[in-house]
Amino acid sequence: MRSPTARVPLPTLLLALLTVVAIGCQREAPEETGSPSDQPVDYAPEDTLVVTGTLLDATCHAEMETQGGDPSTCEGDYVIHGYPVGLRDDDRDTVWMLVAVPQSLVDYLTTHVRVSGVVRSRGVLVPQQIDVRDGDDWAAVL
Amino acid sequence: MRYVTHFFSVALVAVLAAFTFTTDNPASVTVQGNLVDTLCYGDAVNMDMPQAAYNDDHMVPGPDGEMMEIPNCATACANMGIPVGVNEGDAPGGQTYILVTPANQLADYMDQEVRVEGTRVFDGGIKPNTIEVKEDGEWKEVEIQLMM
Repeated sequence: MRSPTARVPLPTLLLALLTVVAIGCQREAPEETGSPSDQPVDYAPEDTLVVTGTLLDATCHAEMETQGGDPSTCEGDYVIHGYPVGLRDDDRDTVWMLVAVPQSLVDYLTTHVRVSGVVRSRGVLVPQQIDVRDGDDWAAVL
Repeated sequence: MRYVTHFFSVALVAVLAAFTFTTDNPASVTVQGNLVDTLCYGDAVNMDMPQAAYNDDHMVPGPDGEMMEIPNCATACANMGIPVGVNEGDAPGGQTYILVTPANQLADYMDQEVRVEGTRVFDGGIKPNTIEVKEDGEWKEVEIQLMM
């Protein structure tokens, strides 16, 4: 007597197996960089932080990273038009959204900066001072 | 019997495939709350007075230390380009999301109840697909011009 599975055509079985594997891969794959993270964070609202990192055009970078493009081609067009500026944190695997007038930071996009600020919510930082490198020192630009 | 088994196998594959392609994007969100000026509101929260900058008119410390009212402050800040946010929920103190859109396009809607459907951008932003404001109990879509 043949087992029930023996009656299923082999191509159908293979297709079903591939589909299940594809689902598994999709669920286990890490989220794109431009997507939010559910990982625990080491700060809380109202904390005062000093963050070093790189200023970037958050909108462009999110689009490039989720679509597989090259973020280094982002030239700040969104920021010039008023879209928010992001800060890629050197020490945390995150990009902060900065509460600042975007156009005021256009000249410092892609620049390594030190931002002193207060956490508003998860991923949202209100800068109180932004410094850029001036030789071995930091110079305030905001 | 062979054809029945075959039929159910194909049906199983179809269901699994459909499931694969309709799984929700984890970054898609719909957030409902109040449209706030993120700078003043953030400062007010830090002073433990979130209500002081939750609405369009803000209360700020004056030169003599007394609180003074700045009418239409949220509207003015949005017009200056300070990022606009949604304070989730119906009271101050909720999670604040930065709306990834030019702030001045939302200046006329500050301090209004909004419903935003869009995509999370990093941890603290939402790239809106639609923004609706509640007017006379009805949701009305706000027309914004996006570069995206």
